[in-house]
Amino acid sequence: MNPLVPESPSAEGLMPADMQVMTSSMLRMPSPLRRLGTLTVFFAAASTLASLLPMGSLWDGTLLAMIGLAFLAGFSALWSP
Amino acid sequence: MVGTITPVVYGASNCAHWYGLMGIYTLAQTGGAATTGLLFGGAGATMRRLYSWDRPEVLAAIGFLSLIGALSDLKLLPFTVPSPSWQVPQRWKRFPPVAMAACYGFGIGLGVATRIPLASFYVVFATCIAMASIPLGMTLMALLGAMRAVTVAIVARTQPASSNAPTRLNAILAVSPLIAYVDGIALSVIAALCLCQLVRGLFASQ
Repeated sequence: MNPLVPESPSAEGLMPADMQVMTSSMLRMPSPLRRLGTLTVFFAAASTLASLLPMGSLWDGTLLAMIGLAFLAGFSALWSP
Repeated sequence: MVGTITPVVYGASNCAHWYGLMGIYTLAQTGGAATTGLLFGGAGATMRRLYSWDRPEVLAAIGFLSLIGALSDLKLLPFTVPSPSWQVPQRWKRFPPVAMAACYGFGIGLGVATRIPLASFYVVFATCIAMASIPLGMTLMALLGAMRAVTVAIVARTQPASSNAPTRLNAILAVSPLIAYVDGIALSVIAALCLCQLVRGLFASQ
């Protein structure tokens, strides 16, 4: 027997009924206006910070941010369909 | 992914066997992602020889792509990012355990063959190309692949201890909009960092 294959029905992937429950209990995003506001606030805050830092360290910071984004993208892939 | 991969990997009862298979899965996924990084970095290096570009062009490309990605992840655009529809085949589950873990790991690890959930993937891909550096591309993608595998491993390892496995999976899946929200915010910060540098560079050169 392949030890990686589910052993019981409860270990199977999500059933259509489960998907319905999941959809109903799923968190909802805020209104578009709030989302736009959040985007603007974070963009403005990061721009302000970037305008205060020296150019050299800003480039290094961008590279670090890209490494952080790679981690975040890998983590968020768990929620991929 | 959590709904399909987790049941597959938590069937192993032997702890050492589980760690062995999960290790193969993680290595294969990291290797798959590094392969994509090699291809993107190599393509970027080749293109850079043909069409020379420098830091301002890199900042502009990543900055604008990140901004579009942030708008897309926050569902502020009338469209979502394009994504391949192919999914790893179910028949791979019939392979011997080691081959199955390696195949699923590599296939998913490539990143470009299966569904792309969020715009941050495209920004990482674009960075690999724009930086035109094979080591940097491979490192970025390997980090993405390793993190992707480790996240699945953590969920899979703790899943059998849960009293109600499907409910736990539902709870994990229910926070999906929050993940997109966080991703959108991260992309907006990166867009700001890139575009601010671009503007400062333009003013400094005048």
